[in-house]
Amino acid sequence: MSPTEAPKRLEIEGPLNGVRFSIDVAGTIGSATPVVWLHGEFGEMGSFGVAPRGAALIASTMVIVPHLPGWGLSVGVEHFTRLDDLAMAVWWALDRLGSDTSRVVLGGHGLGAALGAEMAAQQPGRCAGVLLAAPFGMFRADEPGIDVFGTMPSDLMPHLYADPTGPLQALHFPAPVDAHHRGLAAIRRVETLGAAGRFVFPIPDTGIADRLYRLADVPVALVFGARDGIVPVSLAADWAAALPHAHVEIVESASHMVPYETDDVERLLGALATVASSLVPA
Amino acid sequence: MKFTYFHLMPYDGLTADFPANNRSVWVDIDPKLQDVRRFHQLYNDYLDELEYAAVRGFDAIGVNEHHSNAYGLMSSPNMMAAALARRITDTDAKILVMGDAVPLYNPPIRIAEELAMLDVLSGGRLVTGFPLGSSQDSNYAYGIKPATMREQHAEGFDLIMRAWTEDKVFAHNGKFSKLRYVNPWPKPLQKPHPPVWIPGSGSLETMDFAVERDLPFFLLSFFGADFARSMFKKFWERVDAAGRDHNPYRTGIVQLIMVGDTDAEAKRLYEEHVQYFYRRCAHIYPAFTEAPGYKSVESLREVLPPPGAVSASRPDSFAAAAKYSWEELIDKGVVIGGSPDTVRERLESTAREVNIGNWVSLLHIGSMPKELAMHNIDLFTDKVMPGLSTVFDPSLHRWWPQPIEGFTRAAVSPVQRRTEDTR
Repeated sequence: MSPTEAPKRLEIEGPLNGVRFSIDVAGTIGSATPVVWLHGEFGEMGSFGVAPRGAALIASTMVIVPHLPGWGLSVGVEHFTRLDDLAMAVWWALDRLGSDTSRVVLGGHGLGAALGAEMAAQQPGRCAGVLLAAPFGMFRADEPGIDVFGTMPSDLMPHLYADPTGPLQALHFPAPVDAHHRGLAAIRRVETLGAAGRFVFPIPDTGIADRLYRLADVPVALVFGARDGIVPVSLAADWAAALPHAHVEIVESASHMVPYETDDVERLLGALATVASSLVPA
Repeated sequence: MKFTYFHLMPYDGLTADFPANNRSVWVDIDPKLQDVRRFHQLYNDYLDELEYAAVRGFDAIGVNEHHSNAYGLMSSPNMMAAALARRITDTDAKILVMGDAVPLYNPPIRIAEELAMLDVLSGGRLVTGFPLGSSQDSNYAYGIKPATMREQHAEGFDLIMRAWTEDKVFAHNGKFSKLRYVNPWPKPLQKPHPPVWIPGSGSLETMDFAVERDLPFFLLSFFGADFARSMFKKFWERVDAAGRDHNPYRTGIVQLIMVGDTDAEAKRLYEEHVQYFYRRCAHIYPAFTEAPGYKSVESLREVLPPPGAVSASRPDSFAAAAKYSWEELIDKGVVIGGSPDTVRERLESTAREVNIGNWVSLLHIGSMPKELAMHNIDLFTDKVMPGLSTVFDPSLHRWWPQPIEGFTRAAVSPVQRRTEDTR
């Protein structure tokens, strides 16, 4: 086992003509199982691929952050309309990373969590653990949450962040300095939510509940923000019903951006990675 | 120039405080605001107007499709067109259905069938338009994925064209619908099919769609032809790039037209109804205007303000138009209104300058009562329209119904009754 080089970005062409994955790799090949972090519908917010937010995780294991096609760096989202197709493509890209990803901990947020669940259902034997934070994938008509696609950003923020005017929100969505930057922010919104809409518009029910039986032997952690306006915390019960062995954590102080609002997700990912590696012979 | 009497069929019962107390006129408008007894009267009034416009000499009468709103109560344009088809048989007016939003019909052969029925029923007088559909309707009211709806539209459009023209049963193995046997009965009366127009709200992708297929592009704007100059400039650039001609009938636009005996009279008659439209019917929650993915990033970059710009607000927007006075609406060409001379001169000069042959004319707007709409129709057909039909001679309108050789239109009999039924 040896430390990796400095954080690096890898480009992998395929699996379809016109698709290219950019994948950030950081951290240490050490005592813990690699973690694959799947970003949410707003794109990668720099949580786990780079320090300081992911510092503890990076110190203990390798963290792999694929930028999903359509969110900026990776391209070719037009080839995908189904989350299971995208899941297969991400596995394909991980297989070509040049690192040992035969067994990983999958973590994801929002749409990324729905993707992670699909990936785990496809290849449960490769999953040392799965963490799903504020996961898309299930829906209650009687408690639908806020429509992320049909809500203006200014109206959306109180449903995304426990502190909708705090520094984290300002870091993720900086106030535009002029109309040009306001336009660029609008284009970025169209780009990211337009890509997300390919998979979860108009209702984020992906049918994953029918496939979660595949995770019966996989350690699973479910994390919900108690104040999440997008993925209502009531859905935790539905996920838990489909994954009765899962560890469920409700973070009272957090909203939809729970991986960024607290350290709980990073801590749980680290625990999953450490526990998993201790169970597998070196 | 060709003039179509077009109708939105709006609800006229929105109160002045509607914008203050409601988020949107579209998509999630409070269903309790519906007054279906009033709707009954309005549907019949609006059909009366359309029939009257046909009798008075409009080249066509037009219907369209919207959902979940008070701005337009016409969820089914085909149903309204069918109601009209047998009531205007003693005129030469065509019927413009613009139109059936293709992604909302699955399988799209439903459109091929219903429009073919209309074409046969009306005796070959149908003109069709195939919009993508507004984001409010298609994405939010009907749940179509914005990112793939253009692809879905193109697939459905090609299927409809093939269903109309193929002389044998065929299979359609599409991405969005799969049909082992495509065989619509009837096919259209007009051959190879009724004229097809492509309406759009300004996205470059829709212009390209029209140019590639050699079809007219219609700008569905509520801000007038003057504001559309830059948009049509982009269209003509694409026409040039494709090596096609500058036939003015390649273009069309929606235009509010309000005619009074004098300029002052036009203001007195129409101002409140126009403002009802812009201030109440156009009160739309901004997030419903364009779902993420509805327009491409390239189209959005076309309207990106330059670095340092203070404001991104556009003068050709509902937000701006809601604040315009009557005089500003006229000055900016949002409304072409005034005396017959004023209206005719503005229409002709704008048509020539922007090279627009087809005018989808809104002579009814907002809360306008039927009698006033008919007064507008009278003034327009008596004092504005005459002479304008030849403005673009000798350009040939290649996208207009032509007489069908050897075909005689059926007479429509009065409803027959038994003697005892009339007692």
